[in-house]
Amino acid sequence: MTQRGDEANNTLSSSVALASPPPQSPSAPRRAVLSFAIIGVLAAYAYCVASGEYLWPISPHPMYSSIQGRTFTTFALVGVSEQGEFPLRSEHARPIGASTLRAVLNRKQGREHEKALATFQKLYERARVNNPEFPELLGLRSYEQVFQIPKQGRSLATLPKPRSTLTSSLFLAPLPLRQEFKQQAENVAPPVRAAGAGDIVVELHAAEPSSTPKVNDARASEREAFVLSGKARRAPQAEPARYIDVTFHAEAGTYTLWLRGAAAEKKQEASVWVQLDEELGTQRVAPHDKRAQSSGFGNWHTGLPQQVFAWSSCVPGAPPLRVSFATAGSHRLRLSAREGSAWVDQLWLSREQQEAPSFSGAVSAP
Amino acid sequence: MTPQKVANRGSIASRVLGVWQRFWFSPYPALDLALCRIAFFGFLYQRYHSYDETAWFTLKQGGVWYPVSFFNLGVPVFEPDVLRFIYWLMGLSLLCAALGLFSRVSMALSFVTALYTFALQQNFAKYTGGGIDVVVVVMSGFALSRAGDDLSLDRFFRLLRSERGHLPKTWAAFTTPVAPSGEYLWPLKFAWLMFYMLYFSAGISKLMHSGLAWADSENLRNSLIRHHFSHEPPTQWGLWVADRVWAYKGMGYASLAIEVFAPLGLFSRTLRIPFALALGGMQYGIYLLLGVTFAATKALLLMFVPWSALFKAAQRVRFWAQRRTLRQP
Repeated sequence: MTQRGDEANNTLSSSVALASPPPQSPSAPRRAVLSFAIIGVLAAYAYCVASGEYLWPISPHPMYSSIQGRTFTTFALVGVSEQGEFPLRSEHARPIGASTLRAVLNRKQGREHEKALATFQKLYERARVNNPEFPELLGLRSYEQVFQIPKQGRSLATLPKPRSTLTSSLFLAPLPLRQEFKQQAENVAPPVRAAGAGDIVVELHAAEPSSTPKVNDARASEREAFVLSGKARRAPQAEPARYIDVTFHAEAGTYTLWLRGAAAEKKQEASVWVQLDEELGTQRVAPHDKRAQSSGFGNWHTGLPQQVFAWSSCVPGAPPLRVSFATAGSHRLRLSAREGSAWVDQLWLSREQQEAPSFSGAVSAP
Repeated sequence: MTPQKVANRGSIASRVLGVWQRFWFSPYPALDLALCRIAFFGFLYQRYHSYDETAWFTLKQGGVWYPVSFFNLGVPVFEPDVLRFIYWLMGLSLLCAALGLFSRVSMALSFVTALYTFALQQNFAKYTGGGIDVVVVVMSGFALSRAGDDLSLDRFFRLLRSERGHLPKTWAAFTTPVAPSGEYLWPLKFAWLMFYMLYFSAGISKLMHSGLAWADSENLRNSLIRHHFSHEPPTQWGLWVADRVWAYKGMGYASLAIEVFAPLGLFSRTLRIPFALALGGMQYGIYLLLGVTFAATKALLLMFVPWSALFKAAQRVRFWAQRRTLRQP
């Protein structure tokens, strides 16, 4: 560019065959229009920078202009395949980039968060058509991650891992399970499996009599399921109108809590509260876990067809919740309505089954 | 006010006007602008000719939608089939603009289609595109320019008609330079100005939001480490810098200074290339250290390449090679 002259180069002088050869300088009206346009663009930039507003395509370009602290929170979006979790990258959700995925999740709360996951799943499925090497998606999970950057002076060779909390989950049933759902849709009961040694299986139809209504269904365990329905509540009621109380004996130890049920109605939530022993008659939830408090149990409406029985702990496809008993003995458990309408027929406290069951049939006691 | 003051005032105003006119509209050879047109639209065509992101529509349907001002004006989001047509039209007009075919129409059309296309991708919670907004503004300059006067198919076909289809004569006329004009300077300067504005506005935003503490604190260190977690930088150099106070603070001050003083490159021919290189280098450094890319700014950097000097150098080399061949027995 240094070899260019801003002045006219007199050796380059002939004007050849232009439809309308330009004069040496644009006409006065054209100069005025162009000058106003340039000044207008500059004024728009000045306004955007001063106000922080975006007036597409003029931007104040404020990225990285705020000071970053040593603690920051972000969202991580992961896909779940049969091989386990994998981070969702830009190529998995084209055209949306990884940082835009995080920005969207940052703005979405609760159900909106789940909706966003469902949209991202559609993008993944689109991308998978052109990239068959992408693993089949069993679900999507978003984690809230809190990073703590070490103080100046501490070696950065081993950076601390973030504190991760699962915030939302989109469950996509694996293929064998989808086959069973198809059969269930034709009113065929899926096969019954045997529970592992030391597991506790509670048939809910044998629960203490209450005013909670029941439904007869060939696919339910013992052909009968309870219907737990009610208005959405932030916490269980101390004395609910509709509930199921069961008593069971358990050895000391930790159990994974599974509940077999279904979403009773279309486009309606289907989750229940679980309370154990001393929590009965209070507004506390068991187990004392943030997710149990925020999501309740079951949530069969999330990623599963309606009126199809399936196993779920907190949310289908999400890591399950566990309960621990310090000593062997008899325990009381109460299920009550949380939101929407759910059918429930079996409770399974398992020592072995720590991943979401890949079958939907009832289990038989060991 | 005394008549003398009025006269002075008039002379100051006319002097400012004169400086403004000389700055933007001095006669200038057409070749540079023509080569910049080819490089700029050629790059954009290569990058976006197969752009087919109808998934934006899916995202909007899914409730992921945070409209920018442009869409708040009532601009619709078209169905995927219409979007596909707009993208196809954008690719075609970018190609035509690069080749100089129906230049004025194709440059105007590429601006309008790009304005819509790239506005659409800004509605999903994050401003994206790595400087594509500035590229669109530069396109508006091209849309009003006469960048297709030289090295264009338009000119070739016009000459072919005037020479009644005689190819050697047409070619001889085609290689004859177009007369200089002020029409060929302002689009170049406008592109340079916009490139500098991208960084200048970023620098001023930093000073307004954080002041000098942006550089004189642990801010850059924390950003470098944060990106190590949240992005995938191709090197570990960011952590090396983050471990050294002098390195990250020095880098912070240097970045601020380059951004804030970047527009000086517009007024000084000596500073123009160093500032463009510094900003381009800074951009590449951001990729190496933070893993963040600003791909679209490459199109703007192409406007700083001394194309006509390179073009003439290539011609000289060819001429020299031909003479050498002729001298050989």
